[in-house]
Amino acid sequence: MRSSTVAVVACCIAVGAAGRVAAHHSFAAEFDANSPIEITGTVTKIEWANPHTFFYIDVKNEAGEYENWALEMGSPNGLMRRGWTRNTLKAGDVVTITGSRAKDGSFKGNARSVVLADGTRLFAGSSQPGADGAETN
Amino acid sequence: MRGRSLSVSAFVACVLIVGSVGAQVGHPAKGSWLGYWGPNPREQHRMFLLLDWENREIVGTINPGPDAVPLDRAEIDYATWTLTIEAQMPLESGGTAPYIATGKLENLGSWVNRRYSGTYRHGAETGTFLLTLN
Repeated sequence: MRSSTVAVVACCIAVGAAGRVAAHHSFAAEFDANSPIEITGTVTKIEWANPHTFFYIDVKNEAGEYENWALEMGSPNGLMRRGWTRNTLKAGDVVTITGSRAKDGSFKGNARSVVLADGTRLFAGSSQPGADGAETN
Repeated sequence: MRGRSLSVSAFVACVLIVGSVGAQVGHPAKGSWLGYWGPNPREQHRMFLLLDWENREIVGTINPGPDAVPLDRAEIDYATWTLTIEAQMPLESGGTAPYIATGKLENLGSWVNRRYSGTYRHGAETGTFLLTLN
């Protein structure tokens, strides 16, 4: 009976952890280091979450149409160690990011650095191996 | 022993569920809404509407940032999930005029396809708008 209890508990933990594990991935699995991006836009949303913080920016393209980009950064803890606070980015801020685009060509990227409206440049805890200020894990 | 096994399983399940419950974010209208408004399909303006729930009231800003316009009024009819917002929006000819938009919040059970759409009046101009939750 004791072993069945352990088995049930282990099963519950495995099911619960599956979602979090699925959210964590290597840089190469999703992003293309050979597709660099540098885009400027207005911050529309920030999601402080593990294992990756995301923020979204509205970018006007050359055709005058708007694209809403999802940009992945490091973990909240990793960003705090690089000088970020919860108030560093606010909805409405105009920022410029450098990074790499998603392999599937969607409006999604891995941010390497973020230049704030006041000119401050912060590393984004990128998961790209060898990137400046990269997050090691 | 069987009862103890069930108790332990129930406890673990509760602990795991807490994580999901924590993902709830309050009022259904709260969040960043993105989309377009305009008098016709050829003449459309981008809109970024940031709504929050403070002191049991909906508050918000249109186009947060350098050109931000605070909402003067936001009222919701919970029977029909109809939301009306009002703000003093700039006119292309200069100055400002009341912008009053009334529309329905839809797909509230969805986190990725929530919509707010309806009609607006801005000064003498009328048209439609469609926003989706970012």
